[in-house]
Amino acid sequence: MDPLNFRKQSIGFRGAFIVMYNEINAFFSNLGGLISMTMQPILFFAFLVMGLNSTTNNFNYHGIIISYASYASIGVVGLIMTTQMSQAVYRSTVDKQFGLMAIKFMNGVRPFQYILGMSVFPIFGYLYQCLILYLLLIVFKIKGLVVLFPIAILVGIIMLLFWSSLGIICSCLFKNYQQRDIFIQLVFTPIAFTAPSFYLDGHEPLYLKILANINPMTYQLRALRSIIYRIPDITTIITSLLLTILVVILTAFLLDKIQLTLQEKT
Amino acid sequence: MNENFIKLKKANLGYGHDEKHIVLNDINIDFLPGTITAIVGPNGAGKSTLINSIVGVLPPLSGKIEFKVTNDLNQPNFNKVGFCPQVPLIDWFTSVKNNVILGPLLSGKTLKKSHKLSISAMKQMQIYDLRNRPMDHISGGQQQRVQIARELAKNPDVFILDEPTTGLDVYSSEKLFKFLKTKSIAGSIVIISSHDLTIVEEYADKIVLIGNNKVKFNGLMSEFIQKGARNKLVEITPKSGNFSQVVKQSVSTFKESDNGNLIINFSEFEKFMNVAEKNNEVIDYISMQQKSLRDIYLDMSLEK
Repeated sequence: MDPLNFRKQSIGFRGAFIVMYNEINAFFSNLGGLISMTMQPILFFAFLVMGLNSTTNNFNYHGIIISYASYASIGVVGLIMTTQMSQAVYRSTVDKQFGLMAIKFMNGVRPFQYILGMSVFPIFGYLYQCLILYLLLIVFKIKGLVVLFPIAILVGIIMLLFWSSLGIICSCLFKNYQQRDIFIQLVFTPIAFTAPSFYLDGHEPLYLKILANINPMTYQLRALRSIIYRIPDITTIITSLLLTILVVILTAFLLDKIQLTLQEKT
Repeated sequence: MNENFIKLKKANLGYGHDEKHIVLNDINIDFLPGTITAIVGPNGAGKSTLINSIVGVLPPLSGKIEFKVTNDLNQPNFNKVGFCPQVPLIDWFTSVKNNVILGPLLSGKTLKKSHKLSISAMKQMQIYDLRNRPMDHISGGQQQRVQIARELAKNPDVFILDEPTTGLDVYSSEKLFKFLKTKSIAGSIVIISSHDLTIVEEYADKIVLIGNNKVKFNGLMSEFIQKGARNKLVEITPKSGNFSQVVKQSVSTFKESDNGNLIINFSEFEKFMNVAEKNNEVIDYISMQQKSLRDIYLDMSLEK
């Protein structure tokens, strides 16, 4: 056979498990990362959201009276998603730069399995950070979230796939670490802040409304809030899920075409 | 012997998309089972280009590369290949053992079997004691051993190793090559690029010398040595008489050594002796300077 076709062969779904296994090992080897992940929900929820909550009255959200802390807790989930997108970028950049992506593909890991496998690192990080957030919600006695918050978090995993896939695409386009870091600073960080994470959806100024409307996270946050507050909004939920499917397919397509390298210049 | 092979037919290899970027021209090489083939050549000659093309990371600009290492249509060919590029192919986020286990897992072994194979490969490469260390807490040579262990743990039928001895001490290099020799005898295809000509001379069956964008030699090691031996030198110690007349009549080039001896090419030795006999010149001592692989390599690398 032509060696260029190595990457066309498949080891089946086992490929996803191998990549997952490696990512789980990488996750638990990254103690420093775990410590910084622990701090993020504490900083944003305990210090920022609870601070603002004490100066804000309860408000009406789609006919339901809720506290700012309850509303913004889902915003923190959005922020966690973008953080984990950065993790996906870091992991897939290392994987691509040091030729591991090439080796995995040549051994029969197909792009779709690769995406699933590489998403495990951000999913673990997401679940870990959300668990800390959930404990904070219990500690601060935020009402009405104890049962539905975990369900929203599980649905959020599908939405996280959108961001991790996007992260994998981006890392394939970066030529060096500088490009990656600039991109993370300039594009990823604003994603959570231009979506209605911490401001009230529908009450933002025009420029922010425009930015929010083109930001996929806006729809994801609306979908998560519709689950938590039991607001039947099937369209938003389906739109969010479709966005994930589309990005995963696009990522798989691009990965199938990408030129494999054993080591990129930094 | 199995029917596996790797063949390059009229392959032009290089980077980029057109023939302007050719590194190696018109390459025809067969890599067959039971043979250790050493790819040698100066820095930048294209050894890594050749190896990266063989494994499919670098598409040939033209020509054909064929690869057959398994009859099982359900098993990807590369599962049977142990491949170590020149650059460290390492996951820096994980430990030594997690890097090694990736090899057997990707080659289709179960988790349990992969653990066993990894332990054995780590012991073989003497990194078992480092198994829990993060990759950035070990030396460059140890990192090289990790990636070799990962590929050995695959238990492959084909070994493609680009500069495997870089960073390895003499003992480890020797041990690795001894192992590769046993695998080759058992029917594996072994391809190595190396600058370590001493070890290549000892273990390689075939040699591919590349330089000036082409293959300068592709054949058995014994043929290579023989070809080089034609250029060997003879040192002659005259007992008495005037040898300048003999030299004038018989050899085209000669050198004088520091102690006044005459050094001529072996190819002209017979003629020299005939003329010396005719002129009744007496020779005290003759010594043949046998060329090492290194000398032959240096001679042939310089040839256009």
